[in-house]
Amino acid sequence: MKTVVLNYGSGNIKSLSNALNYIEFDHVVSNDIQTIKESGKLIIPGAGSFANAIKSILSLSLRDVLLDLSIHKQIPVLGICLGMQIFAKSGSEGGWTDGLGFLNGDVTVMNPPNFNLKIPYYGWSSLTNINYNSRLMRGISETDSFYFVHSYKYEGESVSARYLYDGNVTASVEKDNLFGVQFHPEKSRHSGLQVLKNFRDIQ
Amino acid sequence: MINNRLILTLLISDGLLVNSKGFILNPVCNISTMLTYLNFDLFDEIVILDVTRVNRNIDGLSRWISQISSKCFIPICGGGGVTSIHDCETLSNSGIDKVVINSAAFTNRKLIKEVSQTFGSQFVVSSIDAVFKDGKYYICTNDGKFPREITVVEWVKELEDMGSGEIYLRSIKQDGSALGYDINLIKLVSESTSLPIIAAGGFGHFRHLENGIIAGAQAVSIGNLFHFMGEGLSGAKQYLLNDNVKPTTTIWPFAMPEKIL
Repeated sequence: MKTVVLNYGSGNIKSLSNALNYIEFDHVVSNDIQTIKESGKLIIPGAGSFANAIKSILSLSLRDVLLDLSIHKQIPVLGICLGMQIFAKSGSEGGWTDGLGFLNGDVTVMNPPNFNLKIPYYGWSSLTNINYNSRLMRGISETDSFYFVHSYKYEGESVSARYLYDGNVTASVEKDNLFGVQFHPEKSRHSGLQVLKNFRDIQ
Repeated sequence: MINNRLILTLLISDGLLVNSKGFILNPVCNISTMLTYLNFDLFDEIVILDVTRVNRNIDGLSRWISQISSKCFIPICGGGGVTSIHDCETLSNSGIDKVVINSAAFTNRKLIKEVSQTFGSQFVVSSIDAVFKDGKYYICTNDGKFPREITVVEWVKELEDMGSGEIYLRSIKQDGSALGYDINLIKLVSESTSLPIIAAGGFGHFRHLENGIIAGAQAVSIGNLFHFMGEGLSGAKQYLLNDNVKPTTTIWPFAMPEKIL
């Protein structure tokens, strides 16, 4: 069973693919429905806006396929950045749009209390509130830092780690077979590669 | 918490890694040798600049960046000869996270706006080469060859309005001198913009990193490879951690050498 990296027209897939190759995580990059239906694991990258990402998924007729894989077949799914955010019920970026609805939560713009803090936030941050039962964050501690680039944040159920910016921002989520990270593991040194390895090793 | 960043600038000319002293280039090694010996995890970000003097082209740069990005898992900024949205797309497909634009922003005043609207402002790093003349800092374009009649302060404001996300600031005089960054220049620019500043050109000792941050830069760049051959590099971040500069979260388990030159 192949691991498929979903190519739905957003995101820097090259970097992600490089990182997966580096840790010898066999994968294919595809937007072909048949290939996706047969995948054993799925990685959903993402950059761009919430509304556009959902629009691409609908135009590729992927919505039902993703629901079937994630909710019924329960294959391991990893969402990265926007790819995690679209797990939510809805998001405000690009106009309020329904998400995939895997997680009970919403995605809204960050609102830093301090005017020195900018949107989008891009930079390195270390994590807080790590759930040490998390399978995805195994081996990760508060001394590891990760690279973030985003303006919108997820807030809702199943948060497994946070970082401090606009309050405690969601850094990762985990619910059964669903995994998501707000940061870019493919750009976060060996800490990021560790997260990808953890996903690789999930049975 | 916002961390100051330590940045490695790699200058590439005709597929060779080079170093620059006052904008004069000397070869160091080829890219695959560098990839064998360099541990990118020591940095927060890398900047790759194509400084090829003759027949510089985006396809060449994009090939070199592809080579580097297959082994480098930190954010990559790339540029040198970027003149269009198409160039940005080419580089983005080779693995960059941010594009560095210099001369083309001056000759085509719409470019920065177009790029930031297409890719987002966090994608756009505007590079400035500054020269001090008659009591003021002016910008220079085309690898520092052409001084322009526009001050750095005016230009930075314009770049900010056009949608730049960051400023890569280099003093031509200090470049490769190992005498430290141009502190007055950093102060001047940081007081006139809210954009993050990457201080470049002049690193020679760890205390220069600290001076750059205190002067108002959010990131400091180490350029010449010779500076971190041997023990040099490993101590750089420890120095930032030990002093009262806002530390990054990276742990640097190395002893700090007294002097690296």
